Amino acid sequence: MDRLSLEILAIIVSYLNPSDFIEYVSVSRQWQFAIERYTFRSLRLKSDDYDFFTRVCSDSHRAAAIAELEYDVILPAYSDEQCAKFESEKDEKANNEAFTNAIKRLFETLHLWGNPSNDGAHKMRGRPIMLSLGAYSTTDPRYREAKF
Amino acid sequence: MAASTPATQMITLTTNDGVDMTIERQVAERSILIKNLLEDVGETGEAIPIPNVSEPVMRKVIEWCEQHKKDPPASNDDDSDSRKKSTDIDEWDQKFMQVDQEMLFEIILAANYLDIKALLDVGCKTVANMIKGKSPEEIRKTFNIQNDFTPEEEDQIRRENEWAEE
Repeated sequence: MDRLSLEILAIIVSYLNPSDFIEYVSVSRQWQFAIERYTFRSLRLKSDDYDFFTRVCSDSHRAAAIAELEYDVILPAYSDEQCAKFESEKDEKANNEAFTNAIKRLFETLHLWGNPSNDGAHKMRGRPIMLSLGAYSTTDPRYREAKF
Repeated sequence: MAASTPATQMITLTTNDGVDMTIERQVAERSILIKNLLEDVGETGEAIPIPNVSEPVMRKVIEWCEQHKKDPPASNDDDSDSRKKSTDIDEWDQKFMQVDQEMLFEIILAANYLDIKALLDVGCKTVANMIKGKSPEEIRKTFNIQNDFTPEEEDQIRRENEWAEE
């Protein structure tokens, strides 16, 4: 089986049940590469997990697999009391800052991946990533547990 | 007078172990590699060398091409994005693929080299069906795969993939 190229193994993997991917990903390094083309194709990322994301995707084959990225920016938390009021100028500024920084960080990473000195660059260049953006605070009513 | 195309035009292939095999052009053209080659060089009547495939493997590949010579040409749709694909294999192909593992991989490699997509898919589906229901350890055993991970690495990769799949 080691005579089969990664391309061929990736075709074989495409016929497996996606729910078994995690089971099979650690069979061998070649299998890992073949399977991660699928498991890393569509990612959902919270800005709080950003360092984990960049570490995990520092493997160029993983970065190269990403075709869809859903990026949720986590905004500063606020108290119950503040929840009942309109956003103050200060809160607005803090939210804007958190959002801008999170987006900046993301584009810095994407830029780094597209940099020719990076070994994954040849795979990344010219390949589109569909990016969806969202923003919320964990204290937004719909995200907190009901305590009443 | 213009040369008329005979009903069945024959061509000769030479395998990497030096065996000449004469087959119908229509059969050989299941291979996109050979089809393009024939179009490029024209009708010289000379044998076409196939340096990557041995005679026993070529015989199997030709057997498949004979059976499927009337199939419509492969559609060009790129289905790499669909994650779940059917692994159904028709009865004749299933029987055809009942060979030892070595031959199965040889057929897959030859189909890939000769660019016979439908045969490559049947081969890959056959392997996928052999994998289904097996544990990673059983897969390694079945296909004689060396586990090149430490237990810690295995653990980490699984966790990272769980995160990616979330």
